[in-house]
Amino acid sequence: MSEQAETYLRVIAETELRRALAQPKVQMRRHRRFPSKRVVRFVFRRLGPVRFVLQRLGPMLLAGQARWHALRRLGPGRGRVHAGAEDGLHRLAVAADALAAVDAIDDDLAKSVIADQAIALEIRQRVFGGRFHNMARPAIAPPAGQFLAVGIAKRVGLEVEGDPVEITLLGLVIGPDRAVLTITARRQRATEDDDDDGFWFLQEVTAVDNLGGRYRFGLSGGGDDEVWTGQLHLHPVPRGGVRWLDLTLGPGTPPVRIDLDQVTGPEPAIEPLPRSELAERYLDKAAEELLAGRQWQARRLSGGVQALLGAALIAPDDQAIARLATLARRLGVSLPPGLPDGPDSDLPERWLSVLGTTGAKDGPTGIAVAAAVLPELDGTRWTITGLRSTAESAELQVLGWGGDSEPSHHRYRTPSKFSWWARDNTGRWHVANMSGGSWSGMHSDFTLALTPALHPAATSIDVVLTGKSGRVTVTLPLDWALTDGAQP
Amino acid sequence: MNAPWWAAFPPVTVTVSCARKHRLRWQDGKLAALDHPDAESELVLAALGGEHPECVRLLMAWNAHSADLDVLAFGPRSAADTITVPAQSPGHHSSLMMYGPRGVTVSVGGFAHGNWAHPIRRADSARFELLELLGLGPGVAFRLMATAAANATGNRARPRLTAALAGRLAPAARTWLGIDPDRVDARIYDGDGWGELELTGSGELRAALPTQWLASVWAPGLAVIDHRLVVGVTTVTWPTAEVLAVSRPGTDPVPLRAVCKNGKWSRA
Repeated sequence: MSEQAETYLRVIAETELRRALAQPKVQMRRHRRFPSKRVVRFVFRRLGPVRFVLQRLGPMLLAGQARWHALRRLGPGRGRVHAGAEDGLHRLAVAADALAAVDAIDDDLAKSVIADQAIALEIRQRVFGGRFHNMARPAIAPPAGQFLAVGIAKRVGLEVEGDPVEITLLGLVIGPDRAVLTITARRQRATEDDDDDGFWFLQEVTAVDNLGGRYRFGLSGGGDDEVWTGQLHLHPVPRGGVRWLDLTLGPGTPPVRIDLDQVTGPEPAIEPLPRSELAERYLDKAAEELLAGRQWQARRLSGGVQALLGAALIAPDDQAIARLATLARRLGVSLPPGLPDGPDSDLPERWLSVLGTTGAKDGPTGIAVAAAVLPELDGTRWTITGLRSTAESAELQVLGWGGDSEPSHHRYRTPSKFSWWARDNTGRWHVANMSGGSWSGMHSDFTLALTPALHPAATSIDVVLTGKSGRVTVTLPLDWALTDGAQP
Repeated sequence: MNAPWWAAFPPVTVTVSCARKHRLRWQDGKLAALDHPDAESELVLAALGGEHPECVRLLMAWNAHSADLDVLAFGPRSAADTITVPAQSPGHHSSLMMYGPRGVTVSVGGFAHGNWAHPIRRADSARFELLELLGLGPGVAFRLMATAAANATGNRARPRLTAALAGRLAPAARTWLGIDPDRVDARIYDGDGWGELELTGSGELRAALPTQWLASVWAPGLAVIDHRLVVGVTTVTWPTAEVLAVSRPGTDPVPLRAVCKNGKWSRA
């Protein structure tokens, strides 16, 4: 670990604190007594379909709230919004994340500096309190035990309160501490009825197993009045010896059998990667954000690149910086601020592939029986449970264990520690980025959107996960189970 | 620069709620519980698991954090930099609730049970203790920061001390030279003497000062006097101090006599 990098980070923290002290205090309000459980349950049932959106927007809303209070203090009509201490905290988090990503400092130190800064701001009333209680917590390792991923790709139709509902079962994952069924549901509404329960009827799903065990389900995920993407959580977790589950999705519907016996997943390949290339890989992640059309995230990443430059961990004429500059020029987007421009450089094959096929609308429409358990990588365990494809894009459902980083990345909008790519067997590459999900201390569940669409002739796809220590590749056959023309 | 690091600090007394209102007094670099005449024995008993009167608990906390550089991250950067450590009332909406007292489970964010209750980790408890000490007021906070800076040794402390120096010298440089605080590059000076100061052609101040500057100059409020940057304290006969001060970067420091009136130092 580098003393220079730690010093650089701590000096940034001092600079950001000094800037924050020039900002007005946020208005601290005492919260009224929290509503009763009954009221909470009612509100969440009503807000169920948008809860997912709220979870994603939460950090942004809170940051916006801080700015709003700062603005209010200036009085109406003044029109000035302070950048705020929140932004400074995010900048510090991005820098800390970058230095940890290249092993210049360790993860615990990065978290501790961010947590201390948040507390320093909180006790000065420059940020709202109550949101930092998990920041300095140590990494949580994935639980020991067996992981099983089963591809299902079955669709069931039923009727709920007179509306036809179509439920697509994508896959089932059973881990040591939880069992999750990934689903999508589509409801055709005959009338606008404010009193109906949306998709909460899914909590009434039941299952039995071959040993006579009975299961209840909890629902998570998000969507709108008509479409829901999410997970059904089995309670209890099926124990060893269970060979099949019969799932009853609604009264009067025939059970759907999920065979757990003789499930053979694809064998992932693991390739160790040299730590000497960590800085280059970090820069390439900024490029991936540009490729995925997420310029705003690339701008955030530029703060991390500047930290690497500031701590002398990369040189301004590094080949990876030249690649990033070349890509920005090819895409016609401005280079993230503060980054040195460079001469044109050769681009990797996968970038060229994405550049050459962006906007393709020739993807197959359907749902594939795709499931895989990936080996532990950098303290995190990932499983893939379901692949959906449309003409414009494709999506993978991913469930993860361990790796405390993902929730904090979500909070600070810093990049994930992991890079996901896919390559179909026609040679078309797809850059993957998270497009919604849920994160907790132990679990990270999200949808990976693949850009561009799958090739229409593709029969398999390699999913490539790159972490700090290595790269895992798993090949998923594209067995289209549902290609009836209906929306996947 | 012969004066001990604490010489420019006058004694300070704070009142805490122990069995009754008790006094803690800091003097000559040490904190003492005035209303516990046998505090040493009580400290030993407390260390062995005996009762912890509040005064003794705070003394223990002071000793535990007397070389803890976290205090430089949390503590005030100037007299105007006020910090507020929230009271530990049930349901108080603050992250600091997680740092609750010594190894108990407390509620976070107003939820008293369920997933919102977090067990306290040792590190969190230590942080809360530190914040409690800072919450005793600026008199104690600046003396604790000086104590930590004076006691810090070893290479592991270097990044924290460098950042603490940079964070405190930058505003002082603005007062001294009127330059942008972001244009100050500070590092720890390891050589003999008071350090180095250089103003580059691009308007950047490059400074190298010993860590002692934080404890003996900045913390007692001596950083800038009469438009000069104080770089060391020679002798103190309270309320007068003989200091070494630099009028411009690149020049040698000259002796200056300072006097403290109403908590503020000025040229005598």
